[in-house]
Amino acid sequence: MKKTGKTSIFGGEQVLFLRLKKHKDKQAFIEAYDLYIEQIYRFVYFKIGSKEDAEDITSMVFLKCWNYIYEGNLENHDTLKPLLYKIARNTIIDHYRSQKNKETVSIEAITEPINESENIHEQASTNFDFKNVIEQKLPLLKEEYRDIIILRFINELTVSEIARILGKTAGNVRVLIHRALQSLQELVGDQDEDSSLKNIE
Amino acid sequence: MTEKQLIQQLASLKATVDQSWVKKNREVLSYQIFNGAEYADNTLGFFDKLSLISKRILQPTPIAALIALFFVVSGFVGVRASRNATPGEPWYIAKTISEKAQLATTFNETEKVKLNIEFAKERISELNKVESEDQNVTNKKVEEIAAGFKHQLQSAKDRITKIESSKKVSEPLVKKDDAKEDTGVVSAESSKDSSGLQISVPAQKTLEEAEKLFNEKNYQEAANKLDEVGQQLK
Repeated sequence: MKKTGKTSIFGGEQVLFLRLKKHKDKQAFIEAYDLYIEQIYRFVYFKIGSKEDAEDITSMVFLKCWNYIYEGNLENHDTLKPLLYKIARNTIIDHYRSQKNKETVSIEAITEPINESENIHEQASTNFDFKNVIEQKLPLLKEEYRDIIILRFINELTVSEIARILGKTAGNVRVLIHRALQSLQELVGDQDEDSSLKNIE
Repeated sequence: MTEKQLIQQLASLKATVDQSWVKKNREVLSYQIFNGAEYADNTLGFFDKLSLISKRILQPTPIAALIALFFVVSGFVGVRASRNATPGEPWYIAKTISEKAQLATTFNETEKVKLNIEFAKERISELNKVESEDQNVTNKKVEEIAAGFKHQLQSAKDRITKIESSKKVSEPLVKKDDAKEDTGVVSAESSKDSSGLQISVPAQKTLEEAEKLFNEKNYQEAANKLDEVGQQLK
């Protein structure tokens, strides 16, 4: 069962965030780890497609997040979840860059905006060993659509949460959700047609 | 594949996390962040908690609900508190407003007479209450209550007269339309105040007697007379 982080007034996300923001509370960060580890891992895994890499990147995401908090950078944030997702997205991009260039690239700037022009999803698709048709088609989606699909339908985040993570308006996110679904539906439809043609032959 | 089926399949894609890795990674992370660092006070201060509560409470829906609740509760408390109020008390004004509102929202003249009788009886109870609580009750207070009593009685009399006159106007119409029916039933106009037909002179007379008894400070008898009028109205 997924952890949604919805708890009482003195428990859960908001309290954890306040403890981190006010006191840089280490224990609170460990609690945040317990709360978000599965969904961050799932997000990374469906983006990367490899269990080992997903584990490494997820570990890195939490450590980078702690460093970010420890340096007192939480002032401009009001929740932890979008921050973790932003760090995860940037860490994944850095991971692809490092693989592509065969050299170590600095991953310091976690707030650096994602450059959508970099066509990294082609590279990503070569790593996947998914068995399910949808899982196979996910890497073929445009990067932005893939994020939307994972966040909305696999990790079941709300539209406003996704909007915060992607730095878009809720309206934009709704449009993207619709387009991403359509795009995936087309890809899955093509696969179905190919399979039926093969059966006829 | 339909969109619904696609969403269902996406929701079923659960990459299972290796729990042993989660545990091991937790230990590594704990070591990394706790290593060599000082213990941080993790308790939330009073103002932190206050800020959390205010953040939760100051949402549009809870505010609207709180405002609505405030009006309902204050209205309820006000009506309850004003029930036994006497002149000079803070809730008395609420009581008079409530009475006026009841009269304004009643459209049947006979029902209005009943309300006037009820309010006149209420004045008698108020008078009994103030006199029993304070033997040296001021004349001003008594006069105010007496004026209220007389006002209600006068209104009741006026309304009875009005009902009588409307009855007289409607009677010829009835006779012309339906000559066979010579008893009881009258026109649609008067049926609105049909019970008014039973009031007439006896009710007026009883009200005058009640007023006379009130002036003689025989409050109990005056109240009994008002009860009689109430019976006649039924």
